[in-house]
Amino acid sequence: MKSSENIKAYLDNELSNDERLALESQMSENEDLRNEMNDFDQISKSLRASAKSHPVEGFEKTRNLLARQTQKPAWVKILAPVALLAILSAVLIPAFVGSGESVESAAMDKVATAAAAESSVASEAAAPSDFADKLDNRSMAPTNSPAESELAESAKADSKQKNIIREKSVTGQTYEPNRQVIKNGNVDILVPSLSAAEQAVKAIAQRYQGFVESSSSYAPRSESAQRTASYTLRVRSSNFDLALNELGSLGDVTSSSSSGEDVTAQVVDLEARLRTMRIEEAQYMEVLKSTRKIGEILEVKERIYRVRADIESLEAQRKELSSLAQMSTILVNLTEEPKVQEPIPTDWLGNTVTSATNAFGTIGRYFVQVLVYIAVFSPFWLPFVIYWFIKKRKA
Amino acid sequence: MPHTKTENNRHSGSPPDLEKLVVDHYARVYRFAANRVGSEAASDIAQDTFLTMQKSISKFRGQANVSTFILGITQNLCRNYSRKKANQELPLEHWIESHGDNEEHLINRQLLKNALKKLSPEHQEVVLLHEIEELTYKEIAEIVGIPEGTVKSRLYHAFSALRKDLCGGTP
Repeated sequence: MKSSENIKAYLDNELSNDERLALESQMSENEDLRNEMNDFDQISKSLRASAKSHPVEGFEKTRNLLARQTQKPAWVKILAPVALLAILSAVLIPAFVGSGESVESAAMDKVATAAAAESSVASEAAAPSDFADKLDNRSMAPTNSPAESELAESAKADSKQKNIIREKSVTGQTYEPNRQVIKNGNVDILVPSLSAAEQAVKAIAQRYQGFVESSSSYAPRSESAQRTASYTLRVRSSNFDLALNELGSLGDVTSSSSSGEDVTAQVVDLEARLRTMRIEEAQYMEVLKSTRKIGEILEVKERIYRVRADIESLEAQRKELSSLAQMSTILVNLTEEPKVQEPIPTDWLGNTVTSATNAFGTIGRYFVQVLVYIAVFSPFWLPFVIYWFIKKRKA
Repeated sequence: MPHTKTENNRHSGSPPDLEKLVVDHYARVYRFAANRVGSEAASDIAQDTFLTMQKSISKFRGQANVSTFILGITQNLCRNYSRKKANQELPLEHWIESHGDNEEHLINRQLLKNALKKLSPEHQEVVLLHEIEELTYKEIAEIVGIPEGTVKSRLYHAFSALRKDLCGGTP
C-alpha cells in the first residue's frame, strides 16, 4: 500500500507505531499529503455531523419479551420432550402397522413443526433463508395429515387413469366416457341454391345443440361468376358425425375431411396439478395464520399470490381444452351451382339483310381505299397520262 | 486529528448474560438497523436480533467479539428485509440528513449526500460502518467478512473519491 493510502488509517488511529512514525515523517516534508489528510478529516467530521439521529424505540418491549421467554418453568423443560416422544410413538407405531391417517397425526405434525421451528431459530443467524426453506419443506414434505392423504389418493387415482388410457390406446380398445377428444371437420359442398343452403346450415347447427360461430359470404358482380359462403359451426361432440352427414345431404360434396385429438391425458394432468396447488395454497394460509414476524408474513403472502396465479392459469387451460372437447368445430364451404343460359331463337331474313348490308359496306370501303391510293400515287402516273393525251391530239 | 475508538471486550468461557447484553447493546443494534431499513422496521429487527441471540447464546463461547457477533446477526436480518421489500440495501436517506444547520468549516450536506451516492455499495458500507457506526477496522472486517487490509483500502478509496468530488482534490 502506498504511504498516501495510510492517511485515512492514520486519522483513524489504525496504524502500528512504525507506520505512524513513517507517515508523520513523510507528511512533514510533503504538503500534498498534509492537504489530503486535512481534507479527509473535514469529510469525516462532516459525515459524523450529518449522521441521522434515530431515537431508540422498543427497548422495554424487547426486554419484556425476552424475560417472558426465559421464564419457562423447569417442569416444562423436562416434560415437554417426554410428551413429544410419547405423541410421536403414538402416531408412528400405528402408521407403521398401517392404520392410515388419524387425529393424532395432525397434532403430531403441529407439535413436530413447532419443535422444529424452535430449534431452528438459532441457525437463522448463519442461514437467514431458513424460513424460506421451512416453507418449502412444509409444502413439499410427505406427512400423514388429512390434506396430504387426500393428495396422495388423488395422485394415485390420476396415475391409474393415465395408465388405463395408455394401456387401452396400445391395445386399440375404445376408452369409456370421460375421454376428451377435440374433433374438427371440414366440408365443401356444391349447392343448387345458396340462400336455401344457408338456412339449412343454421338449422342443422341448432338441431345438434350447437351454434354458428362465424360466417362470411361472397357475391360477385358478374352474373356468370359463382356465389360462395363459409360457416364455422360448433356442435356437441356426440353429434359431430350426424351433423357432418346431414350437411353432406345439402348438395354435392366436393371435399370432406375430419380429425380428432385426444386431450384426455392433458386434462387429467391439469386437474391433478390444480389439486396439488390448491392444497399448497391451503397450507400457506395455515402458515400465515401462525406467523407473526413481518418479514415472514410478506414472504408467505408472496408465495400465496404466486400459487394463486398458477392456479388461475391452469384453470383457464383446463376450461379451454374441455370447451373444445365438448363442442366440435365444423368448417362448411358452400358454392352455388352455376346457372345454364337458354339459347336465343334465330331470324334468317333479318340475318341475311344484315350480312348483305355488311358486305356492301365492306366493298364500299375497299373502293374508297383504291381511290385514295390512286390519288396519293398520282405524281407518278399523271405525267405519263398527260403525255399520252397530248400525243394523241397531235396525231 | 486522529480519532479514538473504543473496542468491545471479548467474552470467554461461560455464555454472556442476555439481560446485560440487551441493556448494553440494544441502542447500538437499533441504530445499526435504523441506518439500513429505517426507523419503522428497526425495532422489529432489533427484537429479532436478540431473540436469535437468545436461541444461540448457549453456543457462544467467546470465539468472537460479542458486539460484532450481534451486529452480524442484525446485518443479516437487515439484508433479508431489504431483499424482501426489493429495496436498495443502504439507502442514504436512512443514515444521512439532507437538511440542517451546517457549521462553517463543514461540507454542505446535500453536496455530501450527492457525493456519497456516487460511491459503490461496498464503499458506502465501509463509510457507514466506520464513520456513522464508529466501528474499528477489525470489527468492520468481522461483520462484513473481509480482511482488515481490504477495509483499510476501501475506506481510503472511498474518501479519495469523496475528496475529489467535494474538495476538487486528485485521488
